[in-house]
Amino acid sequence: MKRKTRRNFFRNSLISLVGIFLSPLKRDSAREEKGFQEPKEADFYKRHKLAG
Amino acid sequence: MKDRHLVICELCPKNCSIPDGQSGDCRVRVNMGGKLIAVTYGRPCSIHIDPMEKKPLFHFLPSTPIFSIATAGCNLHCKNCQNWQISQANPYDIDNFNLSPKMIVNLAIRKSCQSIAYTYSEPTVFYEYVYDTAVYARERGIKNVLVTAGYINPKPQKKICRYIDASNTDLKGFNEGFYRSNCFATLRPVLDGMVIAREMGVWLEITNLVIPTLNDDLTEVRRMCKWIKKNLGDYIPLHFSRFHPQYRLRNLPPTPLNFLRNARKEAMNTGLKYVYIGNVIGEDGENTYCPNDGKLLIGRIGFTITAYSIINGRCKVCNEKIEGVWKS
Repeated sequence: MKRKTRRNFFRNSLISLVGIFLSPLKRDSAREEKGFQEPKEADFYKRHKLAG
Repeated sequence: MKDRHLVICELCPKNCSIPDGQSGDCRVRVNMGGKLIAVTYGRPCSIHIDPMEKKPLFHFLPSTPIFSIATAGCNLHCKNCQNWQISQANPYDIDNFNLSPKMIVNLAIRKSCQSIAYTYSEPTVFYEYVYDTAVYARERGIKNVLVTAGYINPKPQKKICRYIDASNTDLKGFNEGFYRSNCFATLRPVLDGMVIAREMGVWLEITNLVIPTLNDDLTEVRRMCKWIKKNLGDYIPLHFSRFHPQYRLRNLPPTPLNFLRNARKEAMNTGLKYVYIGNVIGEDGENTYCPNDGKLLIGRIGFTITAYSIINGRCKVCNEKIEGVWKS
């Protein structure tokens, strides 16, 4: 592999990796902007622990 | 060993015991690690602007547009369901919007709607979403309307009724057997719920869908009307709605018009003042008449108002008080 090709390969890989790590953050901010609702805990229920 | 928790949903009279990872009978209230989660919160699947007459509400802000929303799921499983594609669907299997309660109210205001209806499927099962939206709508001066089967426990109903202005309750029949076999529910909680709603000042109208061979019995109609008059009042509007073959009852014919006319006559003979025929266009039973002088007050063809003679909640001719919530 030529030096220039190798350098491009590492640079592109680095950009992809950074993108992968940043994408959840981006998605979250987009959700906030659009008013995305997480499912909500219900009212009116009780817990019942099973034996065993 | 990891604790295993059942949760018992106390929202509706089914009181489902739900194991971890599973949902209640309504499909939309899920036990996630011992917490009950309303998975359709903020995820309406249907949003429309309808005429008020479509709900049907005939004595509540006539001819105004109403912002109408629904999510997937229902706690009943009526064989005749008109909206079974969403009411009997798993919420993960259909397309949903993501809209917070505030966004719903803001959208309604932007579209010039004075009220929001929680309708199409069953608002009981998206209770938390209805509640949060209704509280915010009330703050912004928007009215809240439930179109419901009324199958809910008293405690949650009393909590939400404080923010509800009007309700059309679907009284599906007047015998327990029909409720059990056709709707997989029971009649008593629906009747109790209507009494609670009326006592809490919710404007109430009742719809009774008449299905040939299943609940088309004039004796039963008479008993139902007497119960309404005695327990709710003679001014509660009652809509006899025509059945059209749907979902699991495609083998049955539409309700004969004569039966609907006879049911209306029977209800008025019992002493109910406002009785209507629905799902039929061009019938006399679509109109509102003054209970005192019999003059036409509101003429309707389908969802269109053709005549209007109510001023300040009174008959224009004889000044008789007409119960309802009218435009000022």
